[in-house]
Amino acid sequence: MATLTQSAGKAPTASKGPITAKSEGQWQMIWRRLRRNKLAMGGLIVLILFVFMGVGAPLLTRQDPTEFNLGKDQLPQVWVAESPAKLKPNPEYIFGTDSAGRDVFSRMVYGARTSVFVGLIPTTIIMLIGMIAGMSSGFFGGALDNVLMRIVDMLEAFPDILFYIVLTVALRETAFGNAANGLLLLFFALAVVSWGGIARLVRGTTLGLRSREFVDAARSMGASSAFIIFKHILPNALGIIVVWAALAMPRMIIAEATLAYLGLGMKPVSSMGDSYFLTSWGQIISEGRSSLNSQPWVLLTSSLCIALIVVAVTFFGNGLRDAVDPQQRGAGK
Amino acid sequence: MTSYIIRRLISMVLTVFVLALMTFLLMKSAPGGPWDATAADRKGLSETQQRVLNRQFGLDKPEWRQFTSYVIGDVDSEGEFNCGAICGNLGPSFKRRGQMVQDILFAPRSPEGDFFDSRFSFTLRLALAAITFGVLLGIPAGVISALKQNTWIDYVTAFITTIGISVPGFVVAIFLIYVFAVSLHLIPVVPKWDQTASWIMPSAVMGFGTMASLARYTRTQMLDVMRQDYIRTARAKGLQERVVVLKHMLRNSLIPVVTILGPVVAGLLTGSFIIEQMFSFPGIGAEFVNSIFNRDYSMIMGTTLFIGVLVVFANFFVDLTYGFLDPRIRLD
Repeated sequence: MATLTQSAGKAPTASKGPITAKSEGQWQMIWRRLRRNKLAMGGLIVLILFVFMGVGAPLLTRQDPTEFNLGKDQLPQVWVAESPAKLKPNPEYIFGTDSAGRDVFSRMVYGARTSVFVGLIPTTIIMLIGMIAGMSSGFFGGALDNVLMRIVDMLEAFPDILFYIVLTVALRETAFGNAANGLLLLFFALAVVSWGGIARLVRGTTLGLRSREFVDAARSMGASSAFIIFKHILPNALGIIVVWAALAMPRMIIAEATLAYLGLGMKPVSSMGDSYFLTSWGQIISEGRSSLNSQPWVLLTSSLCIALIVVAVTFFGNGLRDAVDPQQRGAGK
Repeated sequence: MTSYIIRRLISMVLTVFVLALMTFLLMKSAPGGPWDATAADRKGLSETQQRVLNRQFGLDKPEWRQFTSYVIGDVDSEGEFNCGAICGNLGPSFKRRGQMVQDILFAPRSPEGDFFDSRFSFTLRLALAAITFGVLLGIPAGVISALKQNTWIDYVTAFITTIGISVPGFVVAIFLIYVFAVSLHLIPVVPKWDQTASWIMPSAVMGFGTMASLARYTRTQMLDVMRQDYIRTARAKGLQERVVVLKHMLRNSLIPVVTILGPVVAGLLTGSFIIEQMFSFPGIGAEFVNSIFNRDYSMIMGTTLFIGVLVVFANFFVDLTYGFLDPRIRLD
C-alpha cells in the first residue's frame, strides 16, 4: 500500500517530460520491505557487529586467547568485587580468566570469528550442492531425479546430530580430520548431512517454474537448457534459496557449538600463530562446564554469545522471508 | 491404503538398513578400537588378550561378515545359529563385558528394579514429560496469539517462540541451572532421579523447543483456518464465538499440528543425548555418547538402530494418524 500512495503522490510532479517508468528491481523491493522490519534490522545489526568482532578481533583485545597466564587463573570479571574463591579481579582481564588462566574476553572475541565463519562457509557449500542437485533433479527429471530424491529421503530420515557425531568421530584422527584444526571436517560433516532440505525445496520450485509460459516461450525460440536454467529458473528461485540459507545459518552455528560442547568440534589451538581460528564458543562451554559453580561467568558469557548470534540471525532470516514472500507473512514471525 | 502401508514398511526397512550400513562403515573407519587404552585403564590389553577378545567378539571375521552377523546372525563354532539385530539381539557390549546391549538399554539398572529403572524408561519418561510440557503450553500459546494477532500478546509469544526454536537446548540448560540451582538453590545441583523436583529442569529444557515449534505451527494453522469461508458461515448463522473457536477453528487447525509430532519425537530422542549428559541423566543418550568415545561397536550399532527404528516408526505412525484424522488426505 505504502508504495502505491507514494508513487501516486510523486507522479504529477515527475510527469513533465515523457513518462519514464523506472521499475524497481526484485532485490531493491526486498531490501525496502526488509528495512521496515525492526526485528530483522536489529538482527542484521547484531550480526554485523559479530562479524566485525570476529574479523577485527586483534583490534579489540591485546590479550592472547591461547596464552596460559600462570598464577592468574580463575580471576573474576572486573565489575565483581571478589570471586567465590576470594580472588580479586585484574583490570587487564575484563571478563576474568578461565581455569587455565586464559583471558575470557579475548577468547569470547575470537570465538565470534569461528561462529561467523561456521555460519557462512557450510551454508554456502550446502546452498551450492542443494541448488545443483535440486535444479538438475527438477529440470531433467527421470532416473536422476528418482535417485537424488531417494538419497534425500534417506538423509532426512537420519537424526542430524547422530549423523554429525558418527561422522566426526570416524574421521577425526585422519589427516582430513586434522586439517585446519578439525574445522574442515566440521564443514564437510555439516554440508554432507544438510543439503537434502534445500535440494528438495529447489527441486519443487524448479518443477513449478519449468511448466510456466515464459519457459515454454524461451524453449520455442530455441533456448538451450543451460540458458533456461541460468536465465529463467535460477533468478526466480534465488529468493527462496537466499531465505533458506539465512535460516540455515543458525542451525550450522548451533551444530558447531553442540559438537564442540561434546568435544567433537575444532581441536584446541595452543598458540596464536597456528591458526586463523583460535577457539569457539562451544569449546569454551565444553572446557568450562564443570566450573559452573566456581566460574559461572565463563559459561554464561559464551552461552549468551551463542544465544545472541543465533537469535539475531533467526530474526534476520524471518524478516528476509517475509520480505521475499509477503504472502507468507501470517506464517512468519 | 494397504499398498501404501506395504510400500512404507519396505522403505522403512530400507532406511534402517542403510542407517545400519552407514553407521557400521563410519564406525569401522574410525581409527582405534574397543581394546585401546583409556583414561581409566591406561595400560590397555596385551596382544594375546586382544586376540582372544577379537575371536570372542567376532572381530577376526572379515568386515562384511561382521556386519551381516550383527544384523542378521551367524553360525557359531558349535554350528548353532545365533540370530542378530533383526531378532532384537543387539550383541554383547565391548566395554561392559558380560552385558548384552539390549540389557544395558532395557533391563533394570539394579537387580531388584523393574522396567522403570531401565535406561530406556528414563529416556522415554523424559521425552514424555517434555512433550506434555510442550503441548500444554505450546498449543494454547499458539491459539491465543492467533486470536489476538498483532497485539502485544502475539508479539511476546513470537519473541519467546523464536528464542525457543533457535537457541540450542544446552545453552538454555546452562542458564536454567545457573539461575535455579546455583544462584537460587531452588533445585538440587546434584540431581536425585527418584524426586520429581530433579525432573523439572531437564523436561523444561527439552520441552521448551517443543513448545516453541508447536506454538508457532498452531498459530500458523489457526490464522489459515480463521480466514476460511466456513468460519464466516459459522459466524453468519449466528453461532456463539466460543463455539466457532472451539468447534470450527480449533479442530481444523489442530489436525496438521499432529504431523509435526513425528519430527518432534525424533528431535526429543536424539536431542536428549546432550541434555542427558548435561544433567547426568541415566538414560540411553548419555550412554550412547560414551559408547562412541569408547569404540563400543555393538553399543553404537545397537543404539543407533534402536533410535532409527523408533524415529522411522514415529513418522509412519504420524502419517497414518494424519490420514485418519483428515479424510481429505489420501495416502497413496
